[in-house]
Amino acid sequence: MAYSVEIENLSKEYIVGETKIVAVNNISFKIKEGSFAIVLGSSGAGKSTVLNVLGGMDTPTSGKVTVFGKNIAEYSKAQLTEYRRESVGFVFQFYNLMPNLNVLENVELARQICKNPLDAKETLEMVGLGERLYNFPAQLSGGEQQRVAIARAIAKNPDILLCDEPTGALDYKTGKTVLALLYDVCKKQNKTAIVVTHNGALAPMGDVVIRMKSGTVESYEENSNPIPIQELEW
Amino acid sequence: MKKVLVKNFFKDIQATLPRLLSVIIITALGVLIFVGIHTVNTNLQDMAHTFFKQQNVADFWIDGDKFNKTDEKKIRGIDGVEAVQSQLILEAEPLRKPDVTVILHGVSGGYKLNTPLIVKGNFPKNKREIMLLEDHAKSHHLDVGDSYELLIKNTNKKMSFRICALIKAPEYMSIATSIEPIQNSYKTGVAFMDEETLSEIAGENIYNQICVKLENNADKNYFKNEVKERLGYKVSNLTELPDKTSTYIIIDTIQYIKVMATVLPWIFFIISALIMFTTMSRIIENARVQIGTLKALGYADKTIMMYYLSYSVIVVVIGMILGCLPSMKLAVSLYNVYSTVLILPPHDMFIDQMAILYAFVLTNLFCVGTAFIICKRELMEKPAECMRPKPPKAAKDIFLEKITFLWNRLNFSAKTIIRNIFRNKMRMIMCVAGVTGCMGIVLGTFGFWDSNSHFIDLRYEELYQFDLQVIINRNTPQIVYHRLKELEGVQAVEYEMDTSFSVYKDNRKESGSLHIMEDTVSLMLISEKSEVPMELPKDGILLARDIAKKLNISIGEEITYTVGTSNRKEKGFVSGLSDSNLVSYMGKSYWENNSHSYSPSIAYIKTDNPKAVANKVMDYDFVIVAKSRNELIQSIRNNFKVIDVFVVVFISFGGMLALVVLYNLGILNFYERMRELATLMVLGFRDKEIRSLILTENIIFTIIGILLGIPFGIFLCNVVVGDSVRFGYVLNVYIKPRSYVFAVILTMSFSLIVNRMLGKKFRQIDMIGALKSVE
Repeated sequence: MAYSVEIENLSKEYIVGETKIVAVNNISFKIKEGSFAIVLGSSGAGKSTVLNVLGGMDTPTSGKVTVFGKNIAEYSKAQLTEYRRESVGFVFQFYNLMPNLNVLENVELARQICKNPLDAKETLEMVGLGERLYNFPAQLSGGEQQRVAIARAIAKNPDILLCDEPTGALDYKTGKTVLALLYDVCKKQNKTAIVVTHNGALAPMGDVVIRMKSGTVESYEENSNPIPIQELEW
Repeated sequence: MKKVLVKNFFKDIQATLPRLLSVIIITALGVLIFVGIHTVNTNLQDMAHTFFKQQNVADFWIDGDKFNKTDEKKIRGIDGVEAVQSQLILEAEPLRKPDVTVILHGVSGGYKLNTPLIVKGNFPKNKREIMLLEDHAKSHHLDVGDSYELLIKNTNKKMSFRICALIKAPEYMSIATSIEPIQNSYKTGVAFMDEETLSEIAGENIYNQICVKLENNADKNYFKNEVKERLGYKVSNLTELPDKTSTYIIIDTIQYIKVMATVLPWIFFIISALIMFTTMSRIIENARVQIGTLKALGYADKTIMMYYLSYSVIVVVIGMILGCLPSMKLAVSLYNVYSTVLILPPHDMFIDQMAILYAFVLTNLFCVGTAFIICKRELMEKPAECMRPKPPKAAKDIFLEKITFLWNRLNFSAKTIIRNIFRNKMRMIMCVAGVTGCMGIVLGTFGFWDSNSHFIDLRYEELYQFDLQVIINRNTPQIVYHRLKELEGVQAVEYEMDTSFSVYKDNRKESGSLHIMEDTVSLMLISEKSEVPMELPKDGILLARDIAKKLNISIGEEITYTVGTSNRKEKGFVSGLSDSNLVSYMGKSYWENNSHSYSPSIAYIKTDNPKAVANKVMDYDFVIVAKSRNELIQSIRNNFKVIDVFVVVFISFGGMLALVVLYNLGILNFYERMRELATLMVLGFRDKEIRSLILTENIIFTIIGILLGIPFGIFLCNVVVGDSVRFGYVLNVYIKPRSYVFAVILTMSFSLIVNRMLGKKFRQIDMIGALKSVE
């Protein structure tokens, strides 16, 4: 099976004031196409930085980041925009929906700039919001809003799905449902999904689990037998 | 306040100052205009007041023929009369300068009333000394000690005077009179002298005007009746101070400035209140948690209120200082504009302290008032509520969505834009108000300019069909002046005779000048509406508008009039009204049929080569001066140069208004929606697409503002131009189509400048940072 994501010797440094902070220090790993990857680590471990670089929102200081054969580390700002437009679906901790657009329109908003998007209504039905198409974000619960955000990411028909603490702002039960949904969608569409979380209890559900600490990869495990999220407790 | 809180306050202020900057600028502009224009006004008022008082200006002017000492005594005997002064007024012209008129006042009794203000020199000591209007003296390069040779009009009497003083005269604050409707100190002069000086011409103790000053609470109507009773037919006219245009013009001017002083600053104050409203809302909303914390810690509402009100107080204080500092400069430059139109006595400018106080009260009312309302609203919440972030404003379906077929056609950017516009109505109102204000001021200013230049175009460009104007000696025989026609290169000649003209009705007299034209005029037209050539009525007079209005005369009516210095009352019909307020017209045949001799003083010449002809005509003895059409129009245009000052000042004010308002709101909008914008970036929207999304709003607001600004500009133009009079003609509001285009382009480009500045801001968005945190 081919690798959808290959990271080689990736480093990212920030300069804050006069001090240099190394957020990611020379890491390498690969993720197979269609796998559900979990990146684990406490805050400050550098996991979000990796995700941001992968999502084309940030550029690395050095190293190679190959997504489906293309090294996005060399991309210019405009190329990164096109990359985000066509190849990446992003899900955030705080949903980040457009408050002025209703559910359907929020999904359409993302679709309208892509080349091969999925149908908005079908996608929303898939995440279980077929009945709430014309509600505005402010009229939805947190879990529902996150499901809209997932539908928005999926509908773009991206190459990879990146999720930054998708359950961070949700309660235990809702968080579980959302994760289950992410997993199902990923498997159904055969998408590579990378989920960043600090919650170690989620590790068993991933095909791949990458543990990060202080900007380095602490461990990389492939899990041939992932356990469904419903069976996990924390 | 506690010490720590004060420390925190200064840190807060430092952080919020950039956001308060726009309110400060608008407040400063409002204060600047308010204090500036009020200062001009107060100075003019103060100047007029002291001038009127010190020079002891009369309350009444009684005109008539051959008043004598007995008549003066009769007037003095009326109850309530404080002082009486008789004078003889004659007209003269300097030798070899028949186009110049000098009005001579032979004054009895030592200049007690309407005392000339001596700028340089002394009162006359003997019969040969005169005091000459300073502006006139300067334009003829005369000074104290020089002699001035004058020819008394309608006599052959030559007199040589010694100038003993240069003066300003309260009776002549403006010398734009009937004979010379364009204020021109060269062409019109005034001289004051002792009565004995003129007695050898008219006889001793003969006067044609008596000036009267009443006691403070005297009954004016009683006085008027008594004058008629005691002097009877001898009185031709009784003018009260407010009707004495040449004196009262200063008061009229003050009224006119007052209108400007009221309208303009209010635009700025209202907009500053609106900006204060949005900015303060934002600041306080951001500080919710801090307010909640302070409350939870047990600080009293009053303390917290004081804390946030201090923000607005700082705006007011800085705005006041920034506005007041340059206001004196503005006032001085505006005052100078007026001193070119009016003959003003020397005056030391001072700042209007009351205006500063008013401005202070007003800005406080507007700025601190709005801040108070917002604070009050926020303070009503409980501490716990305050510490939670405010729930996002729910988007609602707007009315447009009900029109489904239209709504469904819109794309998302359009939908987001429209919903966003309606989500924040206050911001919409503000933006539109700002642009409307800008457009209104710019268009109104252009309109003011156009109305004036259009006036010149109409009055002079179109009426002046000749190429050369030649002033000729009035006593030239016809055979002699007809030589002009024979000159090489001259295609046509038309003549004009000017004389003074008084109309009588119901014991009242109104004077103006009478121009006797050819029966058919084609070189010097008298109405912009006329056909070329224009036929003058064969059996009547075209009466000056002001005379018709004041004496309530309508077309077709028979009037009684005198011409020149003759006392012969003649009768004639009014066949129409002239365009001018002061000049009446008559055809040559009609004039000659009334057994008058025709002695023209101006010849209008049509020629292809005005320069050559001008050189040739100057060889004739009877020709005084020759001026080409272009020279004449240019000199009139120069009179209007002063208006440019206003145009520049107001257009830049309007522009600043739009810039500040749009930028301020753009920035607020930008910060409020940073998260949304970051989301769009992450979704892969291109910079251009995002920029258009947020900037389209500004453009929409600009367009609405421009549309509303057009009627507002026309309104402002009407207020400023109003029915004001220029050179004896009513000035009509006229806005060139070109000015609409310019005003739109200017306002639009102010908006585009703001968009450019905002566009640069986008590059500063930190996608990751914006999306991570809740706020």
